[in-house]
Amino acid sequence: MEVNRSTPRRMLVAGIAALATILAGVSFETSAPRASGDPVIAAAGDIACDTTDNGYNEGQGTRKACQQQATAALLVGAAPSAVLPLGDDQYECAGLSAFRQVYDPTWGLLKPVTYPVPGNHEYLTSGGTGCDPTGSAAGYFGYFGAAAGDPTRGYYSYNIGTWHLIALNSNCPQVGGCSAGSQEEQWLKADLAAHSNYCTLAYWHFPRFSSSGDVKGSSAFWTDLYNANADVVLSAHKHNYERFAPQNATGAADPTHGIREFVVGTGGKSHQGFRTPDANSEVRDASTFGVLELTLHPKGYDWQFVPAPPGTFVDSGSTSCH
Amino acid sequence: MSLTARNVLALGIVALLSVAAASAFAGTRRSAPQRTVAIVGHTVVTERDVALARRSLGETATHAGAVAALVSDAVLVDEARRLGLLSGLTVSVLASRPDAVAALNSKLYAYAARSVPLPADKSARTYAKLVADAAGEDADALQDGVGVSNAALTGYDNWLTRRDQVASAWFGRLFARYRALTSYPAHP
Repeated sequence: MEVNRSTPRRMLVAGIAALATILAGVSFETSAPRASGDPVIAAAGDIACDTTDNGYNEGQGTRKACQQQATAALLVGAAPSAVLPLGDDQYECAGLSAFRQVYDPTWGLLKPVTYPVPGNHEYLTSGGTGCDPTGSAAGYFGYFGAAAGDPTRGYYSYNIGTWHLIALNSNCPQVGGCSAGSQEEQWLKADLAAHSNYCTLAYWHFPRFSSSGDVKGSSAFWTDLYNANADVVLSAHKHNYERFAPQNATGAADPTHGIREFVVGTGGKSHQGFRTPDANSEVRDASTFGVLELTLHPKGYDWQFVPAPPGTFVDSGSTSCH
Repeated sequence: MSLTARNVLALGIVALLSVAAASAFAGTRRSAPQRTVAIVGHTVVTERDVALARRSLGETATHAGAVAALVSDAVLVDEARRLGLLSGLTVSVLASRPDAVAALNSKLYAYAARSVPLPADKSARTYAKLVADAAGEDADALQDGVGVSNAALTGYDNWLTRRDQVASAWFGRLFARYRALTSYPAHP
């Protein structure tokens, strides 16, 4: 699958932005075109509340919860080439009816350019609106359709500009494991071997590294990506923002070949604090909703965490690919 | 037009419609026959399963891709049946509802990881049991480790990781074993 920042796509997004302004009464400014003209992607996870959530408040949310509308406005304003929902896209159990009620009129405005991964809430069987009792994430796969990849797997890859992007499913029991030897890990190895792009980004829900608690189940993904010289990993699950220095799979700093991880669980649901900071954790914030924008240059990238009002926390930088 | 002539005309129309309907039905059947595409252990994948899968997987699903996906599903079905873990789920069901394979994977994963003992550390063990018993929002809060010590959270994550390593290796061996148990009957 090749994705380009084509004029029709930008026109579509601009049209959606205008429509969103009218329908939702949300105000935002369309960001100025990037000087480089290189594609921009936007990512966050842990996004849309269930209508039964105490903080839902008719979709307006509260100061500390259910700010999916505010983060969606950031997305629409950015008019990105691609939106990467990092899992737990729709609470509590990602029922199809919940997706249609809450996610669709907010983040769903960018559905034509969305490349999602599932979180743990996508596979829950109870606790929210329209849950899938079989635990098969039927609401998630039903809502996103072919954009979510083969529903027996939920992992896939594609290119944006010169970059290779890999969407992985870190719900290990549901895909037959994530560690060495599993089908997904074997697929990842083969996919990396088949793509020689200069820059590679992978994303999945559970963060390998987080100062709110590591999730080491994805260590094999990290090892394979590290061995293939991948550059960036995006995750969520922890409801906060954290940026790490480049690391290898065991968490040792490696400025030459390491992978930089961003945890972006700031999509709107709620906030979560940190424990003892992990080694190599460079930036942390646990009180701001927002999205991470990455500008994908041919041989490097810029990152920018964009806060939803009234948040003021920002984080930005630039670096080269390996 | 006399009554008799009207009846004859009506009968003629009914007959024509019947022939058309029969032809259409026959056409449907011809497009998705029960011809065997693959035999996976004791489980058969038919051309009709492939047609169903291609419909479920969308426009871009190729015949070869659908066969490969179904053979993979059939491995899970055949093994789950052999282990007595399966009730009611067939390859045909998975062909029309491919997302349902997640539940089958979960069942086999639990079987594969059954030998991994709960964490030795008492607080981590208690925490693991709490998470396993929780559902919905409760599970989320628990998985975030609210009210749990760093040591218990680390012990719990180590246990999950060990389970995944054991289960992943088990699935790896399973698919390797079934490569020798899978055949693709040739058709003229």
